[in-house]
Amino acid sequence: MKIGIGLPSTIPDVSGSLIRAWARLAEDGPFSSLAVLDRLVYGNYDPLMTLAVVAGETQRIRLMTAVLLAPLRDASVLAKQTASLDALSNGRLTLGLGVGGREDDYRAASVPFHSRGKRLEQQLELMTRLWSGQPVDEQTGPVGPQSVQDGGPEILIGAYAPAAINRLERWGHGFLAAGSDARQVGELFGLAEAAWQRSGKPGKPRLVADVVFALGPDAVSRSTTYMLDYYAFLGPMAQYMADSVLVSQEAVRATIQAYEKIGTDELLFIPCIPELDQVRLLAECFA
Amino acid sequence: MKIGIGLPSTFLNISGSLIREWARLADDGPFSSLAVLDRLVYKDFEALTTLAVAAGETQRIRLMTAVLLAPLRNASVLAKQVASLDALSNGRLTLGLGIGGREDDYRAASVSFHSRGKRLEQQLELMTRLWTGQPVDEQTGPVGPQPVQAGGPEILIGGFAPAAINRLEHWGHGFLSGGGDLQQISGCYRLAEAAWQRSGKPGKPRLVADAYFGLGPDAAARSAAYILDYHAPLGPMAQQMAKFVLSTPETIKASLRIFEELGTDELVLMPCIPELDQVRRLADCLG
Repeated sequence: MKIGIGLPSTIPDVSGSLIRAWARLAEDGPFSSLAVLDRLVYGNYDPLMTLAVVAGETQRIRLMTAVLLAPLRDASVLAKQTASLDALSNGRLTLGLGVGGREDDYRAASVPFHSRGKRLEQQLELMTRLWSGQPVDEQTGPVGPQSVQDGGPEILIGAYAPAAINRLERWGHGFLAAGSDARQVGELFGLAEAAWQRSGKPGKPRLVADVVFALGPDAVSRSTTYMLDYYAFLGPMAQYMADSVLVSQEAVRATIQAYEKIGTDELLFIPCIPELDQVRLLAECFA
Repeated sequence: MKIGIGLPSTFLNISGSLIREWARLADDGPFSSLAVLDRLVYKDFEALTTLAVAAGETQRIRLMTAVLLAPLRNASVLAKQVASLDALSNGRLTLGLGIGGREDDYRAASVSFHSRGKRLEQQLELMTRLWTGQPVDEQTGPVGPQPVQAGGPEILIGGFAPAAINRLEHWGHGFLSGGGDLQQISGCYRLAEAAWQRSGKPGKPRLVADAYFGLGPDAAARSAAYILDYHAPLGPMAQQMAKFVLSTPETIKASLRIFEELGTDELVLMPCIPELDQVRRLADCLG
């Protein structure tokens, strides 16, 4: 099982130089991917700009959105931005795609909230065509550049609902679950594998999950402060999210074991504390 | 007068590593800015993604869109991407904004071509509010992050038509002229200064111009081949533009003097040959 690490791009008041130094450390370390979250009405850095900046800092590590809220964006511009990022990073982009659940993001983008799942499917349809070099329509030519990964970046479908997981029947190379409970994530993986089988594609979907961690002194109070702010829109559920943060190296090691058992191919650790020693403290858990 | 250089992001089959090396060389050299063009239905690398990758490779040099076709994009997503790029590059972004003249780009983005000027103005209105930390509307909070440059990145209004240049009455820190003969450029500068005066802002608008260059063996022929392809939508005008390419050290030095006499604050030289020696050859002309 591979281990990826999130960039601290959603933590308030984080400087660009910290993001860049974090990326270099992770590149030198034992991590497979750098991951970013996405949100519009919040103080976070845009996920694609963040990954593009760290692409310029790194040579090896994969760059992953976990997940990108594609329906907030215009599909042809998004196809061009992601193909560009894939080409400029020499084929290192993994595009986790989802719809999110915050109405304010959709209001800010002037995109209808309730048809966002359908919009994502239309976007996947168009982007897949554009990435393979086909024209927009009979009157309008293709939208380049050509991605380095053949046919476009690796796509992970991010979802909880069975209907959303079933998008794997038509699109994507794998599945991305946001999880705190390995047993529940294991059930979602089962749904993803079933959708993949129905698609008739050979092999298995790549199975990715993410968890949240904070290590070192005051990890509990510092991660709680951040999680209650980031998940304020969930109301009382925000405390549940805060309680699910992995706050000791023992908990991180136990989680790695639990996710390995359910067949996870890559586990992402999303940070809560914007300090560089988090990268080293996490690496110590499994290196 | 400052001298900027374009990134070779609009050429067929160039690698991400060439873009990255070009950015590093220019950062080491005598150049003030790295600039990118923007287009959707073409094989070029996307403008903001390219600048973000270059930001990760560089420390000092400014990053400029010359120009970005803002109306093709969703304004709140664009505001976030631009603020992110400004913050992650430590305040190095200059956002040249224009509307372009190719209908195919607008068809691909499903945006009305004929109202694109009005759309740009609405976008400037919204983005300016978001960059100062104001909420989207009464129901919807602010869209971060905070840019490093107070109130948002430096804005250059790009255009030829008086109506476009007059946007400087409401928005922008300067004017970016996109080619034409010297008399036309001079006329645009005077219109820009008049619009600035009517706005009541102190001082003068920053005046930026761009010109094409290609140096070395067969520079004129190689440059012409590129210009005729890139500007094919212009028809016979493309032939005219190919003749304007600065293809010897002597013509470059003469042009620098002329642009300086016109009152240009920064001249951006856009490449026609995607090879690293162009950066050194151009630097030699400035020395």
